[in-house]
Amino acid sequence: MNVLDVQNIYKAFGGLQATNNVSLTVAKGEIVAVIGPNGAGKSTIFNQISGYFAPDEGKILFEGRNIIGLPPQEIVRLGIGRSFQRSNIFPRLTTFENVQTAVLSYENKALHFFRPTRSYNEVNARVQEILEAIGLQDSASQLAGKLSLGDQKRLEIGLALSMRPKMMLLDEPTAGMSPEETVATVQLVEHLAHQYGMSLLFTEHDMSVVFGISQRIYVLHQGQIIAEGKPQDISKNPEVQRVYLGDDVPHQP
Amino acid sequence: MRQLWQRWQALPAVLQTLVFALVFALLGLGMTDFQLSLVSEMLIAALFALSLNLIMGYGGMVHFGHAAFYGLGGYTVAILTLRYGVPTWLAMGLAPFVAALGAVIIGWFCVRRVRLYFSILTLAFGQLLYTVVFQAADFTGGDNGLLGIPKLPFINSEADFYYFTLVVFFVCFFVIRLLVNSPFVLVLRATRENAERAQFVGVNVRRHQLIVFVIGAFFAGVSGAMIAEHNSLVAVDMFFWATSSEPILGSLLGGMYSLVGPAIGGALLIYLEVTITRFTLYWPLVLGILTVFIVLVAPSGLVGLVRRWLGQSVAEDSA
Ligand SMILES: Nc1ncnc2c1ncn2[C@@H]1O[C@H](COP(=O)(O)OP(=O)(O)OP(=O)(O)O)[C@@H](O)[C@H]1O
Ligand SMILES: [Mg+2]
Repeated sequence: MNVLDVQNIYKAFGGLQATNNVSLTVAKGEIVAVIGPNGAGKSTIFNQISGYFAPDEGKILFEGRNIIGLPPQEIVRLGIGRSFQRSNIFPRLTTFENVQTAVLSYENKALHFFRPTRSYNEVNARVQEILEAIGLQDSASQLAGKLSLGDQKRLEIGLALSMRPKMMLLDEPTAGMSPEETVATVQLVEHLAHQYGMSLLFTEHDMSVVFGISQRIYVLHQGQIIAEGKPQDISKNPEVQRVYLGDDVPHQP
Repeated sequence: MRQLWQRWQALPAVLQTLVFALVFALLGLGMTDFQLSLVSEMLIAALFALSLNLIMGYGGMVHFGHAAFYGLGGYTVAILTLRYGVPTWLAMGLAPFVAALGAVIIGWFCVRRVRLYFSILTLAFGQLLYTVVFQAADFTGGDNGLLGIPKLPFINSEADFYYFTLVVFFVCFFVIRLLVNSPFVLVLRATRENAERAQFVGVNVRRHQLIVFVIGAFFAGVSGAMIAEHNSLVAVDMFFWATSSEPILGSLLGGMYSLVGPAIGGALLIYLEVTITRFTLYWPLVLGILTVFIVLVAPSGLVGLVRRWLGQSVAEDSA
């Protein structure tokens, strides 16, 4: 069964049709990429799935349930975690506190008023575990706003992970990272997807990442999906070549 | 000095609070009636500033209507005792709950908006309440306020009131200190830093903001009730927007991103006001210059200056 089933969604900003009759599915444990040129509407799709705003029309089913109209904090609790294209963290909290906030919230402890935060041993152990998974354990006590851009993006993934999502939406997870950081992050994400049977829907401009880990790809152009298929088919698709990929396609073995 | 500071920070919360309280208790032994009264007032102002800082410093919600809850606290005591013959201790016990209830209603509307719009709404509601209290003279005394609030039975001197204030202040201080180190305030600080992101880690931001608004109002109600009892009267000025600005200036002066900063700042302002008005009537002028100076030279307040001197991060804001 599909974990995510997006059916014919539309979203307009003024006269601009940013999402134009988009349908897409993600199966359990599947890794799916959405690619397309700048302004194609990738982030807009993620924003609708995560409840940042609702589509004008259409349906978004998560595990069979229509989630349109739910506020973000409820959608995330159903099991859709997301990261943002431009790093979106809590700048004047430490890296540790960033993840701690998310874990406390996930465990419904955000309304505990009198017990010191540092005495929540299980929560803090989990925070430590997440920091190690994303490789930020050495920056735990640094203010998150002072981290490098690449580290902030990893923290993004850490925040999403804290919610123990069934599915992650990653909007350009490696933007702003060095090639080494990109490789490490991609491996982390792939590993997580396999280890927890987590589904993954991501966008990415780095085609080596896209073709390296995705099992299926949707190509978006001016708000419409113009192609869908396995990476090897997508790279051969003439229309995709024309509007987007150009010479950028890595050669498939 | 730095070592001393580190050792102090390692002490448990209860012990720190007790040490503070003990120092004040000992100081009380050597004070004149005038000084006892002044320091009582300073402590009450400090509590008022602390209550605001939960909302403004930790919650990042700039609140221009906090006087409403200070006023509600004071007027609850005055009206219940003078109009309904309720015993003073009971009226004072109810006052913070009345303030909190007022905050549930006002806050419900205000947290629907963010930033400037939130601030303007708080100001509007504050002034609305002021006007109502001003106009409903039959009930509230209007411009004249209400005089002759009965003393608590166990208070027979300035010293008695001083020690009573100490107990109330330090109990509240201790509770606020617990709050500040709790998951609730950590998550609140996260909503301050990035409300949007907080939603995407499952936080109900508005609910969080409403709760801190109500908690802050509760403690403002305590300080309003205390000042009413201290002065044996309430005046409609308690609701006026200028009263809302006092804890804001106190927080700025002491340092918003700390627990004790606003308390120190709030208390210091009262001290300055009382001493300076003995020499000149231009206290508002002095206050204005002081405010400009803080904002330009030491935007993180006295605590920020001390922290810089101790080589700590200025933005750090846990207790
Ligand atoms: N909140 C908004 N209000 C108005 N227009 C918007 C909004 N969000 C996106 N748009 C517009 O919708 C179109 C699609 O934007 P979107 O951010 O989804 O593109 P994208 O595929 O993510 O691009 P990029 O690769 O640059 O991230 C763009 O023309 C953008 O300007
Ligand atoms: Mg985008």
